Amino acid sequence: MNPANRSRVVIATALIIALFLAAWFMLSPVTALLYLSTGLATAVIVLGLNIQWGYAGLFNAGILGFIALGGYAVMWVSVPPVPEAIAAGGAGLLSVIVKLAVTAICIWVLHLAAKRLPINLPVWLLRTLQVSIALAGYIWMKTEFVIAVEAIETADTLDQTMKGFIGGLGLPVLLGWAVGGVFAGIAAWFIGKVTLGLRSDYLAIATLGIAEIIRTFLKNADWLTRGTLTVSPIDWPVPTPREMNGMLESGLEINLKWLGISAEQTATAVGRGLFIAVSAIVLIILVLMMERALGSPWGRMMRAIRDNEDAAAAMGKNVVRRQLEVFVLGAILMGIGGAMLVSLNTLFDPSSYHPPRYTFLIWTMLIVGGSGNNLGAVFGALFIYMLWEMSEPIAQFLFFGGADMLTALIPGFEPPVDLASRASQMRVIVIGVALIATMRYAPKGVIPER
Amino acid sequence: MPQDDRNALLQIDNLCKSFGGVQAVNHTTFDVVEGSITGLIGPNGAGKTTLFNLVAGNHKPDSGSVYFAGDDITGMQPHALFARRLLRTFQIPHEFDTMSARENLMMVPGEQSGENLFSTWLNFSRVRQQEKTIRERADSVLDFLGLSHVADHPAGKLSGGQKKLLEIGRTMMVDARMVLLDEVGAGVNRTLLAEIAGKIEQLNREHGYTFCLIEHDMDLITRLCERVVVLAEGTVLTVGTPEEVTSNPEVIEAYLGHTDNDMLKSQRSRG
Amino acid sequence: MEYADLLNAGVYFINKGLLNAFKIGSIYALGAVGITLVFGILRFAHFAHGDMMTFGALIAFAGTVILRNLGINTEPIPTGLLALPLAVAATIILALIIDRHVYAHFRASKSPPVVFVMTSIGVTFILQGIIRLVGGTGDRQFFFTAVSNGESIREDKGRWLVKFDWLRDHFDGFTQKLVITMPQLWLFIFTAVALVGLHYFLNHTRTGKAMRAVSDNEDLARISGIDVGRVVKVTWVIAGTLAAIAGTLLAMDTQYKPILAFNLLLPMFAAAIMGGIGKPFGAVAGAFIVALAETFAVFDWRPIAGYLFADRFDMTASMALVPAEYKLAVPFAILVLVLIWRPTGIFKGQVL
Repeated sequence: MNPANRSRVVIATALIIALFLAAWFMLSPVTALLYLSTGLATAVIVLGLNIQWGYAGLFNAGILGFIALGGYAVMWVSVPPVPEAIAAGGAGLLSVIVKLAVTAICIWVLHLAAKRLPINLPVWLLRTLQVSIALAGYIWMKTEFVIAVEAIETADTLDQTMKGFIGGLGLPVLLGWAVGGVFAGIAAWFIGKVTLGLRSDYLAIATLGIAEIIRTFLKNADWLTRGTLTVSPIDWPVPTPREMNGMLESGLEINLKWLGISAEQTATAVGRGLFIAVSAIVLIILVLMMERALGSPWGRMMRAIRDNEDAAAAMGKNVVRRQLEVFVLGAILMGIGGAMLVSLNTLFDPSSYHPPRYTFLIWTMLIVGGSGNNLGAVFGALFIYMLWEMSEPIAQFLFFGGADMLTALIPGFEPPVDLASRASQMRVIVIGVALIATMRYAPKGVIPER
Repeated sequence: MPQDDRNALLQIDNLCKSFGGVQAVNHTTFDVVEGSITGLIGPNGAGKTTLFNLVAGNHKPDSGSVYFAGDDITGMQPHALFARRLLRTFQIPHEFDTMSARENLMMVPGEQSGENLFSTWLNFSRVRQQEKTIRERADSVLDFLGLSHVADHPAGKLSGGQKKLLEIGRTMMVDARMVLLDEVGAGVNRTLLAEIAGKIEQLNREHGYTFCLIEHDMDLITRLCERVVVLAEGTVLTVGTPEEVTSNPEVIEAYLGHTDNDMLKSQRSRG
Repeated sequence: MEYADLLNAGVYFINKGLLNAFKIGSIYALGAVGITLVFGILRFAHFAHGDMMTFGALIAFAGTVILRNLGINTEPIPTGLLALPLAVAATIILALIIDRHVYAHFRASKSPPVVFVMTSIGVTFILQGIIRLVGGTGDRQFFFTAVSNGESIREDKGRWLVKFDWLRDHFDGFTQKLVITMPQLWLFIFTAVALVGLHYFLNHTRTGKAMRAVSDNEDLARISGIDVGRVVKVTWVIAGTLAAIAGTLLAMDTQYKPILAFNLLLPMFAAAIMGGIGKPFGAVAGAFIVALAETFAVFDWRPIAGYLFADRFDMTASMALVPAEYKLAVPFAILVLVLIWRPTGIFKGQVL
């Protein structure tokens, strides 16, 4: 690492520690731990984005889709199945899946036939036929699908918190994290195949749209995800606070008062501390893997493609294939991060994937942190996330203090009633200012690419 | 012109390409014989670079075919042609500007195991081995080109002439069968040009590279090429030795209609 | 099936289908034109456009509150319209200030496009925060009951009902009517006027032609002596004006809410790109295509089937092609298809 960067890393770490301590003392130790944990999971996501944007210059605005898929995956893997619902609609669903598969195969066969056979089929005709088959397939399975879904959603279940969907596999949570990566990777493969031929700015809008479709689907497919009713609790790879509490009550002795953590908070603190440890291990492994990739001939090839695509192609590199590779790799990381987040929150709520918050905030993290640099990505995630969370309490402190001061100084002054919710608006403003300031004064980010 | 019994390595057959109403390449047909250095000349707008782009896979021809070593390569993508050891350089050097000169060369060899992600993570010792070999080759190429002293400089910061040399150097990182050189002499001073010409001859003689070069510099053509193809208005006007071609009245007329002076200069210099 | 059923079906189709589509299309058109102009002339994606629309609506609302509380009543013209010039002026000023203090710097230093996009996102964030900071986070109705001088005065949104009386007398059973709200009517009027005005401006005035020149080729335009700085300002004026009008009229027809226009951003971008970057009337065409597709994709054909086919269909399940919750996905699906099929858009605009 070059010396200029080294000093920046030190400053960056200091900033994060400062925000962490601010949270620890202004709010509470357990809240600070929660923020750190969320920041680490987000760092995995931003690392993924760094691979797509920093290595290969692919502008992915559809981050949300991959994160949501990761979240769904961990829910699906770790939540136990709901036998009543499966009994009611499982067969119907299976039949629908078969019909979908048949339709997909027909379309694919048509694609192959057009390629292999000597007839010269005009592209528009091929596409029209394929779209017609898709439409026919949709109509074919629609009624059965509706009936199966209806059955699943209305099946009466023993466990009311699980009512309305088919449940999952009931397997360990860490596996769910991995499956999150797999789901996101598969989705990225298909999306990449279709959109990577487009010019970069168009790629952004296409990915944004597809992410929107994924998000809307997950939100509305109650039979799959319980939609707005959400699914919880989702397990942790380490003892949850509740489990920790049980352990503490049955004799385990842990005294954290010297850290300022009260007895009631100890279980949560320890639980979250362990989660942080696991998250940190996952993050470190991934960072090391990505660093290795970047420093290898693969990284050199990706830089060449980014520097001059035509020359790289002329020198034998299959640009589209490599871009797809990068896109999928980045998406896998986003899926893992998304799974980690849902695990941490023990709640899968598809409506929480709100575009402004997630998509733009994550991009801001990468740009401010330093795109093209893995450490920059991690820093950006932790810093911006903490800044985002801490802006509200700090703003409230300032606003209320200011309101008190103005009330004392100006007779008849009445602060607005919803001062608290207005204070929370400062978050977006602070982040916006941070972004613009970075663009203006450090356009390559705080920790730029070496 | 005596009949050549060497094989035609590159065969261009009736290629046509139009861009928005302008017929850039119009039923062009000619061969490039293996082991030769063949020139491709013609006034500006004759379609030379378009032709290269058609062969090299940057554009798809409207009709016609291209054969390389007997295989139909019409419309094949650039990276596929590279695998068949048909390489090209660009008129304006396309260097990888943020990478060092050495890295520019090291990225070239295909099928490096290091370019495979799984090998990078699981079989790094093999990658390291290969890197050593590739680096040695890169260093010897840099040496050959006289660029060793800028090996670690970012390619974007090199001089124009150095970038040109690097461009040729890239083609030396693999055992190419044929290299298409697009105006390698453009904007290069006389001394460097002579150097480049020498390297081309050396590669042709010692390594068996076949070259096809687009050029405006008639001295370079005369020195290097045993055979010259003249292109005008998208089609082949004539084929011959440099001497035959520069004294051909049709060729002169084609140039006279344009503002190229090299052709006239070399005509005049021979009295 | 009688003529009355046909008429009912027809009017229902027009009312809930076409009219709705045209209303949405007009909003999209006004916004998309601004977006495509900024895209074409300033060459970046102006994400903050949606929030400019919301800002305009907020100012209009504030103006309306003041006017109503002063007792001003100008029926049948809604008070919101009186506040519109204020909203337009404020939005224009906002746009010019942002340009001067944020974008101009990056233009001067010839920053790469991604910097513009990121900056635009930053501006969006800040604008959203300011809007909520100043205007609160709640929803507001334009047609509220004001209290002025101790009197409460109601203002009605106003509707125009076309009852087709003469047809009703002839055809027994024809009960459907066309309903247009006053804000919708004003929207159509404003949109038409704005588009005609824009056409005239772009084709028959010097500044308009200068704008087209800069959009086509900035360097050439500059060399020809065109004042690019002035073109930039005029672009923001037009974009701001259209945004304020669209935002205000939309808020008047539904309600003001801080998230008002953000959800419209993506369909408007879809419209702009579909129509070809830099082609304002392409954007208009794109806007109406998107609006029509959106409306009819989620259109529930049940009432029409009911009129036309009486009891022959099972009417319990929705007869919409796409469930209503997926409405937002429709413009995207269209956009993706257009991009794959024809990346320069329908009217061959710039390729980014």
